[in-house]
Amino acid sequence: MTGIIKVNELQGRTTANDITVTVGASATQSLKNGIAKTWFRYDQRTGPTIDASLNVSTIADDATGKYSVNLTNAISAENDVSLSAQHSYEESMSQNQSVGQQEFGTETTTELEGYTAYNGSYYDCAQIFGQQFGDLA
Amino acid sequence: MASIIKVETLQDTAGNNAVDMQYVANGSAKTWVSINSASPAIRGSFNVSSLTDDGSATGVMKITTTNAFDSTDNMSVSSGAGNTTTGGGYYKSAGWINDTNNYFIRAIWGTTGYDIGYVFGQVHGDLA
Repeated sequence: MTGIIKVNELQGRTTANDITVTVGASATQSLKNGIAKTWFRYDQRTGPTIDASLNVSTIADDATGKYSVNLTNAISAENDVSLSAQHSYEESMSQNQSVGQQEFGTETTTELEGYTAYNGSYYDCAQIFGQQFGDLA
Repeated sequence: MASIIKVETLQDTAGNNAVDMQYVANGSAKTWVSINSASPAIRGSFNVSSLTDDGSATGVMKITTTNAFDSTDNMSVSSGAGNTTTGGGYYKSAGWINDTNNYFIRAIWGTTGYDIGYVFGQVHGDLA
């Protein structure tokens, strides 16, 4: 028989945000520490448009190759986040081979800031992806 | 006594947003870190025991995890770099696996590595 729990909110029994999950043969870890709190797919060449996202209210087109991600729920502290980002200039392979630099950081606890560039010049890119790990406030 | 619920699927009460526990376990990052490679120092982390300036080239930072992964073939590294308060926005990042307890991250501008304010790394996969 398949075990399914239907619930709208999970909370730890002792501490609300402390739930342990088994993640290996026997290894366990905190559920909240492992899951991404924010992710997005953003098209700055067309629109610009947020194609898909989690915990993102808006993304501002600041300038060519520069964007700001405004979070729905704030992060707890700027030092307590780990970010990653990737991008491609367009969906075809040819241009993607020449656009290869991306910088992504925290501006405030409610705003992430990103750049897409190549060889000293900024470019708007069609597929920009970002993820954020760490605690929310 | 710790309370344990053994279940295959979580779902909201409306019957939506179902997620199998395999995705909770396999989809969770097993380690992440935010470092200042210029110091170097760890700003924030999860499942990280230490940071070492590798010394093999500028900007190469070695992250040692507290709990090891089960196999190097079963690890996926992602990374990011940011120096938005002082940089020009041209940094990129690289991440690669050393062994089941160690991985590297590096901030790069052009083809040169740099020590900068914010370098990030995450690894997905199974722990041992």
